[in-house]
Amino acid sequence: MSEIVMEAKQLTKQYGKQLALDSVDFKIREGSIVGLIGPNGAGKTTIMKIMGGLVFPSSGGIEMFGESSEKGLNHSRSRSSFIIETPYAKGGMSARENLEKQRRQKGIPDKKRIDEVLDIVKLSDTGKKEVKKFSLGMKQRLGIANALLGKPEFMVLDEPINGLDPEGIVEIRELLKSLNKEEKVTILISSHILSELSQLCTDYIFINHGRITDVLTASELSQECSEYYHIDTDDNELAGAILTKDLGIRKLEVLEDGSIRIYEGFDDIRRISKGLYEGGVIPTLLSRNEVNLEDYYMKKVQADD
Amino acid sequence: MINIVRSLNFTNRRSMVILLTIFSMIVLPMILPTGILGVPFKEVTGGAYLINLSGEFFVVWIFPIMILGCIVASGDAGDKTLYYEIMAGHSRSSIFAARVLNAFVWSVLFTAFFYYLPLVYYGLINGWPTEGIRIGDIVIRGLLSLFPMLRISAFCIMLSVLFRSAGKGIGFSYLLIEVEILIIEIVKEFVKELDKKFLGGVYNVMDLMSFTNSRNYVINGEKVDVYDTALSGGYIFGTIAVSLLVTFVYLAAAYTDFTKRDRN
Repeated sequence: MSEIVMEAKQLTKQYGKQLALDSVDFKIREGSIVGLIGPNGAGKTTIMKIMGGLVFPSSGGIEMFGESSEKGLNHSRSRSSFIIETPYAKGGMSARENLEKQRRQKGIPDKKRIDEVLDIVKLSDTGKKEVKKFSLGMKQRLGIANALLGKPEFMVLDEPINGLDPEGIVEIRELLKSLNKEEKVTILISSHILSELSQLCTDYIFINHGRITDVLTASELSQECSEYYHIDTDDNELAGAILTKDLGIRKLEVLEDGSIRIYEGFDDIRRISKGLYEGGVIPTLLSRNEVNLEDYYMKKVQADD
Repeated sequence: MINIVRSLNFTNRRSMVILLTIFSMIVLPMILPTGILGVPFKEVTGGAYLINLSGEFFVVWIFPIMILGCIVASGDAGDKTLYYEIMAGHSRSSIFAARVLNAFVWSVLFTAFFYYLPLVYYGLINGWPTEGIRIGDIVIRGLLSLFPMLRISAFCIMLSVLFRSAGKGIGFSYLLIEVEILIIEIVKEFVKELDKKFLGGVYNVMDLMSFTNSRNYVINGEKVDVYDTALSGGYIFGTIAVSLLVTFVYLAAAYTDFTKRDRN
């Protein structure tokens, strides 16, 4: 069984009267890539800031690499790296100078490591260009380079692909996958680009209003993410009646726009279309789809709201 | 802690504001006597600079203390690169200690060095003819002035830490030091016997570097001003004790905020 890299225990954070985190419990297994998913203001960044030591919990706490004391957590942080909110950098210095500052601060003896990480994020050719003249995507790459500088065992990444172009997103995804696979780096990542997370994550934590609403593995999610037929007709009300009464379909959902989703009868689509037609309904749309992470997330958020 | 100091020094050496401040500290004493006050260059001896300019000129010298202290201590707070030190696992206490120590070196030691440097180069170029000044006393006064400078620097560092911004730290330091001077001057108008030298760090340095008690003697046919430069034990103890006490209070306030407040 994998070791637990990080554990939140009854983690609570209150800002004045606002409860940002409400008794949050979760675990992150070694070698996993965990997607932290939730709407803005759900508490994702607060969790990451507590892990990074920027914010103090009001009650409860965290354990990283089995350490929960102040001193132990600081030691655990030295084995980790963080990108929280936007990558911080000195605008008047070049990418290399920014990394040199961080190399000294982290006490990394190998100066060549800067060239290595600049190569990895494709910023080697930026020369003396000041970071304030970088695009958002370049700043993100610099943030990732900084996160890789100390060869971390655990990476905490808050919106790391924000601002990257499609090519950059693919590169970072592949980089994170290879770090996870080859270097055994455990990753906690939040992003609003759920399609990306679904290609990357092994586990998911859903959070809303400061509470964990769901924790599941990728395989559990795929079980939840069932297939369905999306049907639209010239008379959806009648179509619904035909599907339930004449064709015996029980797993059915009528959407807000009136169109219908059925979650069974996949092997019998000819019977369904024929039944609708014979019942006097003309199907205008009949497509086979899958509930993806985005749909699942929307469903969760709506249910919670 | 040593890694943070190394990282800070790397940044300090690349800060345009810091470089401009140091450049100003070198150039200003060169142009002040002849360029601004109109004193012929030949007459600006080391002794003349000390007697006539050092004390009053310190009002200008609080700027490098403010600028260097605030930028070194909190320059990384504005762009949040300071967060990397916390996230890298350095304890907040060690980050605070490294930053304050480095800020003291850059603001107090560097400023003091450039503050007293004109005495050396004017002395080398135009000589040091003021026989009535005892160099030993000047050295003691110079060393003693480091304590009130430390106090001024600690005040500026505290404000920059509380505001989490070097710029705000500099602005509010200047404002509050000016207000402090104004209040002391107003009180002095009503309480004539008030000894203001320990009330503000600026007054303390100015008092240490001002020489008003002089007597005229004619020695070997030449008129010589003999200055009373000796300091009493009480004055030396008072300067050190008050400066360290006030520095401790300012740093305790800054430390509490730095180690206990969330970084959002």
